[in-house]
Amino acid sequence: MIRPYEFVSARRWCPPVDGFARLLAGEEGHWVARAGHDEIVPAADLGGPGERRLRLGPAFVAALDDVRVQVADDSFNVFPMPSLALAETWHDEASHTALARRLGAETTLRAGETEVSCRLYDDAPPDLRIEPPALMLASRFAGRDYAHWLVDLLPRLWALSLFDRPASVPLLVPGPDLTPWRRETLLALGIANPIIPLACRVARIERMFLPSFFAPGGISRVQVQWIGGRLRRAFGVEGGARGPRRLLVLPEGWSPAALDGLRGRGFEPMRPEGMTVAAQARLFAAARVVVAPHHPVCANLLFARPGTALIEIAPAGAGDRFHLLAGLGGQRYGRLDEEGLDAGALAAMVAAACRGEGA
Amino acid sequence: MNRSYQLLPARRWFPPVADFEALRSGGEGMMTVRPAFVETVDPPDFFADAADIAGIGDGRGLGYQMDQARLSIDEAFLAVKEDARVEKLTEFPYPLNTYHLFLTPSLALAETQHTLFSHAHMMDHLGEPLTALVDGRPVSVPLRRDHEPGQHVEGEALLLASRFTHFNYFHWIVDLLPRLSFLAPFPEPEAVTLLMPDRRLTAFQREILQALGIANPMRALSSHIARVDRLYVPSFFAPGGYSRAQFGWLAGRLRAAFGVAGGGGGRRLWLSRADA
Repeated sequence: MIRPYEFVSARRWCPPVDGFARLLAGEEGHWVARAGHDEIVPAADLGGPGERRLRLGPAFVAALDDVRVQVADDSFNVFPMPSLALAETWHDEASHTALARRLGAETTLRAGETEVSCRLYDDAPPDLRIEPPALMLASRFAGRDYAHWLVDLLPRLWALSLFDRPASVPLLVPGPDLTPWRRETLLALGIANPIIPLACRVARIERMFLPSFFAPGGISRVQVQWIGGRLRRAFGVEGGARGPRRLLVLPEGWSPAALDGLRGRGFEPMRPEGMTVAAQARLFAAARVVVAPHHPVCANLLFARPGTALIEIAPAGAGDRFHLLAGLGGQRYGRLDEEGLDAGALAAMVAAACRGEGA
Repeated sequence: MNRSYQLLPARRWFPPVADFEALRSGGEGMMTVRPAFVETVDPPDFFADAADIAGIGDGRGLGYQMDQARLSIDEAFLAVKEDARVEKLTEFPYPLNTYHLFLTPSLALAETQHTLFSHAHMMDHLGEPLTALVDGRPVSVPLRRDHEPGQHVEGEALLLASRFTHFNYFHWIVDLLPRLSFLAPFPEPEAVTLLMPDRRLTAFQREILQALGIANPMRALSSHIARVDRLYVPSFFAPGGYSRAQFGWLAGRLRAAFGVAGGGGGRRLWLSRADA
């Protein structure tokens, strides 16, 4: 049956409780672990976006009984009742609504002279039933996008520490199979929990713990430190690494002519396709200047040392998450428009970045 | 601009509070006034065929044999919504008749008409949602016009309006008047502003209020969308149906108000709809 749906905040759907223990004891509710706050991201020091103020919502864990998870197009909507989906499978209600609109998830329905835009889903019967209480780690894009996996999804592991026996909590992850880089990061982080891949259209989950994003509404400094620190330790690059100091990221099919000017300036090409996370971590931990397109590989800034410069060559309208990552992680950042990329402007920004390379 | 919306149960929006003091102290919240229970309805004393009698809804759809009637009554509650939006008008298809309380632009409180189930059922029954075809399959979408508020009710008010209460004698008496019982916990019940369904009170409405001695300040919903600074939202007296306590409360007050507690008058009555 095709139904329209609206978002409702899990913080509304689940009443507040005064301690996580009550959720462990079986209550439906939500517990706020960190209050919301504003985060200031400094302006890009090499040129590009200005200062950003992020309004971050509280981080919480909600516990719900008998929910349906729709697994379609990497969306992972959680329906506590027909036609209502929890907003916080993405950041929050406002950003989830905006994202759905931007992705074209709204359909315009007409009957006579009347029309309305709404989001629709197929309320099909569940084809997977999950009985043991499990922690939701799925979120939009994290099934196939390296950056969303590192920046959005892995930080949700913060909620594991709340459990009495964190290593025994089953994890619901985007299915059907873990990609190599997902397996590799979980293994490196020492996550040996039972994994339940959401390899289905609709899962019925008897009891779900839904952690919010680490910093709903954006990215926080604490989040970058939390996940960056764990990833650097996990991959043994806490103190940096040996390797080229200047990196030119060249994903397959991307080679603007303006990049020719970088030849002879010591830039080592990096082709991310097929690389292990460990190899990427070493390259970014060693680099002092990185030139890259707007590409998930830029999330490797989490492995980079403070002061490393990222020059991102991005198409108009591309998101600003790598500026946020750099700004909050203590790295330098500059951004150039991909369209009509000017070799002179690139050379000037690279020169500025190289002047501050440091040791 | 048309918007789609969904109904949301009150207990999924309002944080629970322990008592009226907590509700009064500020912020949004919801206190339980009576817990949920099951009301058993005695079969009619006189009928030709029990299967011919349509019972009142109890959350399981309309129409069942009266000798099997058990009403699932949800908890009664009093909630507070700050900066509330109350919708009065709708063009889809009945004017003057929604009295939705919009919690967000796309979420409406379910219990402005009994319960989630019965409210959704009634909306479908009235043909209110837009029905369109998607890939040849019907989709039913509740929708509203997203107007700016045309009325501002400052301060506090208690919502009395609900569907059909603006003109219908039965709904005025059985649905609206029992909501006056939610005035009881207020320290000065007679000072609470009542939010009425329409500015034009009918003769029977004026007469009943006067007889009951209701002299509270009143504000009438007079715009498509009214904004209320702080709205007290009572559930129905017995959400999902009716209860003995409801009729006991109501009948006691009405009989006293009209001086008919002792009975009297003619012994036999013929109700005719000949001029209806």
